[in-house]
Amino acid sequence: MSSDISSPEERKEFVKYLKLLCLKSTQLIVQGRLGKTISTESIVSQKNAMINLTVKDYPEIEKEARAAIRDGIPNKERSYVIEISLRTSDADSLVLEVWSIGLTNKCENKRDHETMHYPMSHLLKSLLCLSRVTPAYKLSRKQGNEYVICYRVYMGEINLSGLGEGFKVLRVGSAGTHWGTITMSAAYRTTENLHVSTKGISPKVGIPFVVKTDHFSSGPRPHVSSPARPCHTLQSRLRTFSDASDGMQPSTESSSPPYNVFNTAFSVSPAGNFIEKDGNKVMFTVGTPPGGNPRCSVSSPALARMQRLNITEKNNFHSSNNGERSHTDFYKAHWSPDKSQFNTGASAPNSGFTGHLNSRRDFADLKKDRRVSFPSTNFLKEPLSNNRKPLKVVKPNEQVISGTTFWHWDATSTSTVSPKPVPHISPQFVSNSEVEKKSNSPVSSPLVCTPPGLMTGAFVLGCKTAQRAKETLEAAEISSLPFRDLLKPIHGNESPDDESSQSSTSLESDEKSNKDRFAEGRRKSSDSSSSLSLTGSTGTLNNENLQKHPDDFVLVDLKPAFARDDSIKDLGTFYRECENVPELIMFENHGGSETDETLHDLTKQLEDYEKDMHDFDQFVSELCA
Amino acid sequence: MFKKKYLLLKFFQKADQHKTLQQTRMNANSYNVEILVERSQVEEAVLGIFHTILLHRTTGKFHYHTEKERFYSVGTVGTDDVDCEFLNFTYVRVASKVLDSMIRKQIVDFCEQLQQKTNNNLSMGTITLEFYQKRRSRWPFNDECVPWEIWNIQVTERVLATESERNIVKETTGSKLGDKVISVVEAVGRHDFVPKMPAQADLPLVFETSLLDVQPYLFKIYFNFGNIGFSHTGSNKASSVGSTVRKIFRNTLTL
Repeated sequence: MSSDISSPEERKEFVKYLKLLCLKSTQLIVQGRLGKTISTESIVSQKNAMINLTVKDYPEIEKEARAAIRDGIPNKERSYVIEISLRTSDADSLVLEVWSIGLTNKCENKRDHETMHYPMSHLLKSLLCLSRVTPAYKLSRKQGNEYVICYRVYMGEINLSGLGEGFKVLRVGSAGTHWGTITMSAAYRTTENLHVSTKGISPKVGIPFVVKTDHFSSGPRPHVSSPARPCHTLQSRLRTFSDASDGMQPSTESSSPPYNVFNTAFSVSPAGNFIEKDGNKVMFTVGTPPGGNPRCSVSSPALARMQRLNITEKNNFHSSNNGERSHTDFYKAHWSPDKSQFNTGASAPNSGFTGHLNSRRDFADLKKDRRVSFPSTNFLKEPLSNNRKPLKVVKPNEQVISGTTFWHWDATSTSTVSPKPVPHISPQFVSNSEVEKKSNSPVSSPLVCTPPGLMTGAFVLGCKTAQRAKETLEAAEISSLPFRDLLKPIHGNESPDDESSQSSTSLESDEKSNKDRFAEGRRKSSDSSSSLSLTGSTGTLNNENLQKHPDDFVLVDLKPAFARDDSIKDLGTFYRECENVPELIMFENHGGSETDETLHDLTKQLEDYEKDMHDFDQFVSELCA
Repeated sequence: MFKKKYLLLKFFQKADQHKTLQQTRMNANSYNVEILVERSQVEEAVLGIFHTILLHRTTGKFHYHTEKERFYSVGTVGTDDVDCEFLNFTYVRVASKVLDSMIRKQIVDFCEQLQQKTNNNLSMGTITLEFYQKRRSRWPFNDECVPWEIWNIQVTERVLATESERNIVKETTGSKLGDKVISVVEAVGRHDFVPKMPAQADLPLVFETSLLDVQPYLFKIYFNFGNIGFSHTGSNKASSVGSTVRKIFRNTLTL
């Protein structure tokens, strides 16, 4: 730096302009991430304007920026850095952009006619234009309840590790001075390496499990002078939307915004080892951030987290909902914001975690990472490292002695479904209470096969659902054919009417017997709309039909899908009506009790017509003549 | 006779200006930007690029010191974020309605004429934003306009039939336009040549002083159609001017 050429006054002016550049740059960048369009007015007569660009100064941003440059201006060893990151409601963050202002040793020939005013203004205009081009700007326009955009200002080395791989570098501009060249540049995550989507799941309030205050470790982060702060908190957003002016209230630094619980899917760069090539995503269940801790670092071992969760709330793994949440916490423990990727992965099928986790990274590789220790695939075997309390898993034929019981699904002990005789289902996993009851009795043999279409699911043991399932299965074992108990076997002591009904040759001889039979059938029939079929010389009962055809399908109760469960009306009625021959109208009037008489009348009428046939023929011939 | 000499003098003046103009255009910083957009996106795409350039070529209003004319203060330039309707893109423009209307009028004319020259759902045209400064000339010569920076936007317009295609293009064109803006900002920041800050008397020679709120450099917009290249490569016009002058000489001498 050729500081000897310039006077102290010029040096002072240079420092002043450089600080102003840092402050105004921070304002422009952060305001551009508020999530709305920014408009400023041209001021014709602006006194003491050091730059010819109208920039509003938000107090909170000003405060952060001044704190960062308190110790001096950027130089060749350290730069002024503005980091833009995305933060979800569970305090997970993703670095999107890193803007930096630095001073190089290279001294360009400063144009004599130019003051610092013009190049500084030019740099800020370029910054303003380019801040609308990066993908983070579009994300910031869509921020809302799902995520917010945060900013962090510090002086030090530029840390690009949070951007992952494949980030792009953008040169904003440079300005030559006698003391070096001021350079402004940006590194941003591209759209190919960034995708944030939200699921439209109704938000849930509250966390069913207890999260301790040290849920997230508060370890120091490199080059951090202040934690990442949201560009626009929910509260201030609501206030600002209601106000006409664009005034951002100084937000409270302690409390974090009240986020709702929802599911967010991230997919980061291919460097994340847990992401499969087919693009399967990891699902989070986002909860209310604990304790208002604004820091985003998550570095606690997954195992310690699991221990804390399991020791305090051992019943959490029973319900299916909590089962899904448990493995999301499990993954949250591995999320490293520094690397923007997961440190470990889980083999979902083997470990039994249901959901969307599809990493196939071997545990053998993960165990090498002592910082994040993680149990192997078979939970039953290896002890857990870095644990404060040993986890103990109940094996079959093993009594629970003491300690914490950890339920999980062990896929190695299950087998495929077998449709043939189902043995007694023995639960693979037991709770403490059940083990105490059965402490003297050995645990039954492992599950060999399960009824068709039914597998004992994870986290089902010990609850009512399992008991019901067990009872249902046992009941199903009794009879192999459905509705078999409804079919009565054919016995020899059936009513004598069956034998006589088939051998009758004339209606008159069996009139009485048929009448009695019909009356009896009517009384016996529970369905008033059921019809009596006239088959040959006799009317048979439904039961008789069933008895003669025991293998026929018996309609017990018709329950049509998507319809009312009312067998008396609609489809059930129609089915029963169509099942047998419909009753003739002439018989309906008499209620079916005088069918024989009606038939006799018909015969008599026919005889009478035959007698008068000659007279009818004469009458017709007279009409035709 | 005097009338003919006067006319001859005028022709020489125009020829000289044209030649000078060609030379100065060839010496001016020329930047070419090519864009391929759908018909409805032409106006917004050109506006986005032109406003980005103009933002860097616009200052606040100068207020010279009454006693010391070398000293002046500069007003500040406001900005507006503009969301494009047919593009997934946001650009920044100078907060001046008059300036916006000045360039929008020219761009709309360009778009309308470009649409009329569609052939097989495709049309091409070049719209140019030229920054110049005036040089005072002695009577009877007029002040000559010397361009110092030329931005040529070669627009290839295509007509899409379905709305789904337009939606796809809306996304892709926005990102491509962003890349163009990055290139434009990088080019503008090279500081190859920028006119010196003038004295109060010469302010109208460098800046557009008709606007009340901001003060851009003197600029003009013109356009042409077809795939004829960019405007500063007009060597054919110089030869035609020379032949015209020769004809005038011959005609004058024959009289």
